[in-house]
Amino acid sequence: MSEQLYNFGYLDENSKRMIRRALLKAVALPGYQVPFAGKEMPMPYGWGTGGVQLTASIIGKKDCLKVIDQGADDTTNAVSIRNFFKRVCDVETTEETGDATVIQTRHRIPEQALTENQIMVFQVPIPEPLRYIEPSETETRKMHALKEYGVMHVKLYEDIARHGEIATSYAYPAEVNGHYIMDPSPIPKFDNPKLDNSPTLMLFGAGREKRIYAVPPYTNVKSLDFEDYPFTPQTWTRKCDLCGSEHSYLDEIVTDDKGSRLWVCSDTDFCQKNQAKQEQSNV
Amino acid sequence: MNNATQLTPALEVKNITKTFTLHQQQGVAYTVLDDFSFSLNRGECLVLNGPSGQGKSTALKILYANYLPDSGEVWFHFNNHSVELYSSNTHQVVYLRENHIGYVSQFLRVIPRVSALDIVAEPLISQGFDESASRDNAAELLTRLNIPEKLWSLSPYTFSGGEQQRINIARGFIKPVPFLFLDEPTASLDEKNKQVVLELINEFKQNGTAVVGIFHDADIRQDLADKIIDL
Amino acid sequence: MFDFNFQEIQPILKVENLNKLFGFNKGCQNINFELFPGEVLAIVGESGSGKSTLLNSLSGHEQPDSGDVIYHAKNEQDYSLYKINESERRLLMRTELGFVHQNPRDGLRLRISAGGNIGERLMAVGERHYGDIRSKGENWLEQVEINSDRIDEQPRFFSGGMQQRLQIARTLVTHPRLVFMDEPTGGLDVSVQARLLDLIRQLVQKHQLAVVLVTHDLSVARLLAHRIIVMKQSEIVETGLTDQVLDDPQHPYSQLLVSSILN
Repeated sequence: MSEQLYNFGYLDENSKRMIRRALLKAVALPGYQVPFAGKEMPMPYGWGTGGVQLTASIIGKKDCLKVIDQGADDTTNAVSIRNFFKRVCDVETTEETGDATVIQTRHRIPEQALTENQIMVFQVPIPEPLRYIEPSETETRKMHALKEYGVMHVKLYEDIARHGEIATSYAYPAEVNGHYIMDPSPIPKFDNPKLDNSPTLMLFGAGREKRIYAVPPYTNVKSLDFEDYPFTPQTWTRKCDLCGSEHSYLDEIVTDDKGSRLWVCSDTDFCQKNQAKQEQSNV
Repeated sequence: MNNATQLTPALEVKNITKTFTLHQQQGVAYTVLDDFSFSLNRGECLVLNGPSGQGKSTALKILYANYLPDSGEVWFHFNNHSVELYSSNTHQVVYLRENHIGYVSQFLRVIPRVSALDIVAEPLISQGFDESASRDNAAELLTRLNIPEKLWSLSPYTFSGGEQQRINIARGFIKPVPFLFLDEPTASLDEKNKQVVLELINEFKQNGTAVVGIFHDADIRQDLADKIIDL
Repeated sequence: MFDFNFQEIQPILKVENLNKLFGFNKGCQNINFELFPGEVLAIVGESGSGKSTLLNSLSGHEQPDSGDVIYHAKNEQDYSLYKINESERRLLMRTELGFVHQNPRDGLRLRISAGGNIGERLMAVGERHYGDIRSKGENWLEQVEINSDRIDEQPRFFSGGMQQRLQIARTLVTHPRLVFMDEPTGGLDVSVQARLLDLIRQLVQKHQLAVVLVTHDLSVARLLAHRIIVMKQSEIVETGLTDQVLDDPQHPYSQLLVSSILN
């Protein structure tokens, strides 16, 4: 299948080497945004070019790739990226979280516990968590360097003042390893606790803004909050309508034009496994 | 007052010379005070006398460091310390003014939005005295000076000249001070209020305050003066 | 009352041979002075005389070409503002020092609520209790005569005078000891100016602030300042007690300034 017109992983070896160097720096400085010379990829910005470049730079012949979008393996973006790597690397791909060695993601961290043998690659739209309040890049770099993060709490303050609670529900800022504050990409805050002290290497790539950052395995990641408004992940009062899970992140799906709705796990692989398990125990 | 304190004067002015140079008017210079000196004891009143334009006001302003002399010294003597005005740094002078000198200028400088009562009480409050006690003192003085109570809460902006002057006097007399400088305090006052001001000055003198003043009225000069300098 | 109990105190700010020039006589040069705790110093002079450059150099915003700006901190230590590292300097600037800009847009976040604006400096020094931060915000709004029920409104909807008062609240919330003000009443209507000036006067007295104030308006200096520095073409030409400089100016330029502005 592999088309030899392209180098393995689409990027040329020098570009991959450049990105790997940036990755090493990112791992050495957890949460710090490392600039890199991002390449043009055969897909538009916003479709995951940052994540794709990271995956292309770290993937090897023996790797097994899983790609998810909103937790699902079967959405357009996930399918396209998976097919892209199948074509330019001829690597094995999977939809099963446990089988994957590299998981590229947009919006979610799988429900199934990850391991030291896996690497998560996040697609990031806006890597700079301070951007909301400080438009100057020179100034935000200085603020990061000097740990001047008062303004991050201003955003949370505004949330409480306006909504009575911290309404930020995704891209929820977190302090990494006691220094840098990072935007953990648009994952729901439900997934923030999975970043903390995770055995898995987490890599973040922003294609448009050409920034890479990382959370190495077993690193403290603390979501920002107030003493009287502590960080709380989303919870649901209901179970998944398909698999009955009470502990997973649920999506609301409108099923007809009469307003019927289903609440189902956003992680399709997790949901299917759960359903299969129940069928087995029913047999 | 005991004799020991009588021996050292309270205020000593030595060889003050003051020349005004008007750079805006071809650098014209004229000397107003030349080798001006005096000394004054506690409880005494010195009256500066003479026709206008001879430097009475200038001399008084130099005692308050409002005008800067070309040369000379102004000594303020305390029980424990002596201060020379023109070799002190500015925050020392500010301290001296705020704590030890009462000064009544010819015109009241109105502070926007501040009531008559607060203008009078401010010298006490800024020294750290209790605010309501300071206002009580201010009210007492305003009553003595016949300022109707309905005016106390207003800014003196719209007051008549005589009323403004009495506010100014009250402000100058609110705190007990060892030095009191008065620039025509009775100029625009009626007979009744002149008498009140006379009483106030005499009370300060009795408490040991050294008073230097310029007075329009010959009878007031007669009443108060222990010394007169003709300029 | 016959005892003199003046306590000699350390200056809060010492400026030694400060120079910052952008061209011949543009900027400020040969600047030396001391400022004491609780003292208000006005820097006056015409546009282009170097007032703002001096203010920026004093306040840690503009590295001088040479000379020293030494701040005597709450902990009794001296900090030479441009010899300490940037992190220390910026920490001082957001705790013990404060800066009020002429244009409130430069000192406020216009799309952040009034409470968020005031709270930012608190959060920047580590306060993490929303309820406390909010009640301090309400308290400071009242202190600057803004109704505290406007705490959630964005300052872009405030009048110029209110914006300026909010900027002052935001600056003072961390209880700085030394505040720099650049023409704080500059862009305001005369009627609003008087109110703001009186407010500043009261706050300075109440909180015992040392202030360096840049203004070209001598009546502002007269009302607020203990002491005046007159600048002309980058240099100090005269300095002294406010009423002395305004009533008996010595230097030809000070005389011109006083005669052209006061009536």
